[in-house]
Amino acid sequence: MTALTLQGISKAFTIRYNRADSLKSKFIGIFNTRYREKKRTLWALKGLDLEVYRGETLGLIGANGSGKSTLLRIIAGIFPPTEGRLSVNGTVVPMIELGVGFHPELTGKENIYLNASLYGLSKKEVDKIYSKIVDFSELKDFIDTPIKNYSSGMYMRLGFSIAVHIEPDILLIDEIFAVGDEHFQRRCIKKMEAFKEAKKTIIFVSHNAAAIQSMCDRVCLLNQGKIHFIGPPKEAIARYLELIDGG
Amino acid sequence: MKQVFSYGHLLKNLVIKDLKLKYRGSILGALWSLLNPLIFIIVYTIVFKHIIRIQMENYGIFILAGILPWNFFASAVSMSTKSIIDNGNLIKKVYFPREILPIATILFNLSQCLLAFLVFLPVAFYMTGLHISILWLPYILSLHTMFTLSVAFILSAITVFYRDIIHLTEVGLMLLFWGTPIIYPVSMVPKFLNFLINANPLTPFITAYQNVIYEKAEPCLAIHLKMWILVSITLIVGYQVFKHCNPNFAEEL
Repeated sequence: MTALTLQGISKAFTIRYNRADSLKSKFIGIFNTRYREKKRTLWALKGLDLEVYRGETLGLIGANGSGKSTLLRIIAGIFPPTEGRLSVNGTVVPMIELGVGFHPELTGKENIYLNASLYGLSKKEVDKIYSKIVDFSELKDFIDTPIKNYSSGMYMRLGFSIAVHIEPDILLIDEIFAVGDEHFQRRCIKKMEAFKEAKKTIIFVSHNAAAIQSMCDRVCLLNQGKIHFIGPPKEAIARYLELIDGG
Repeated sequence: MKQVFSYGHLLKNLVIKDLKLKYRGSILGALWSLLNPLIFIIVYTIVFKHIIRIQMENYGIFILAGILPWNFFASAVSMSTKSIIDNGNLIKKVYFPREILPIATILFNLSQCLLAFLVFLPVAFYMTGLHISILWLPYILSLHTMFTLSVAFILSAITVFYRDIIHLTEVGLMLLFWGTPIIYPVSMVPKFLNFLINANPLTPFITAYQNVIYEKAEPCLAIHLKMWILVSITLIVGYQVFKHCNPNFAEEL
């Protein structure tokens, strides 16, 4: 049972120097090469083949710029791959940043409804999970306060709490384990374990070797846009360290 | 497009958010959405009845019949240029049908326009009498909204690549205002400028509003046809432009 299949996924970004952002510079560029836009193509991902199984927790590791975040964004549908095929079975919730779309002037409650609808939930569906979200975030006393008055930890807690209660089939997590205090982090890990037990698929980007080792069933090591290694967490981390020392 | 419907709740929430935020922190709150058009209407009536006196019966009503829909068009269009770029953070971090953003902008402005009509129509009825022709208003407003949405699709998408569009739109709207028979009737336009008025895509819509509110007449067949043709062409073109640009939004922002 696969949750996700990637076939030959490549992603090219166009890096522009001398960016012609306005019509004027575009126009001048016709006559004057100095003002012409210069382009360079950067292949962030090169021919990735990957299968992720239902109920599996897959770790993604690799140096900065190895393509981890790009891969997550392609899976989330934020931008299309340049080449290759992607098939996803089920709903995907990306946690690339917590509290995306929160508006500071709105209260915690209003933001819960707005944020959840961003992930495609209807009002009825939010009504059902609303109390769970509030309980988990431990923000009951502040839920009718505009979130501009929240501390950054409270803000993150609310964001995380919404994302995990949406209960998608596939959850994408990008480096957000530095959320809240020790107490809240432990509860996050518990929640993730409950997720695993419920046979949900998790794809998890982190630089935290301990978290990767304890959470993941398999780990995929990316290097310069290609899969360098895929297998058991312990070995993947060893290979990663090797790669850093070698380079 | 089918996806837009499944994200209907997001659309609703975005419009509600803008409405809530508009008057949050103010003492009179939502009352402002009625007060604002009320004051606008009073000022226009006074100015054009007692100061700038033009030989036309109920000139104030004539102007307001055209200027309220114009205000809707102008503010919707100028807001729409920023509807994608101002939400760059959302677009880069979450997947949802991007069409929602310009649609939400239009609906927000439409709600403001409806409130303005809510205040204005009783005044118009009081001064010029009620006529069955007013039943055409929802039909005209729907076509006008579709047309505005098409323009918003094009502008919001292209602004992502060329920020000049924001300024170009401001200037364009100013020119368009004077080129549309809003504060003057078409009959006042000299013959050699008639072609400009006829080429203006807003003319049939504004004329239709004036027909049903001021002249108490059904819009003529030519106006119906012009509105339908404009709406169908711009909606197809606008949506195609938007669809074409859409995959590149996340990278460009």
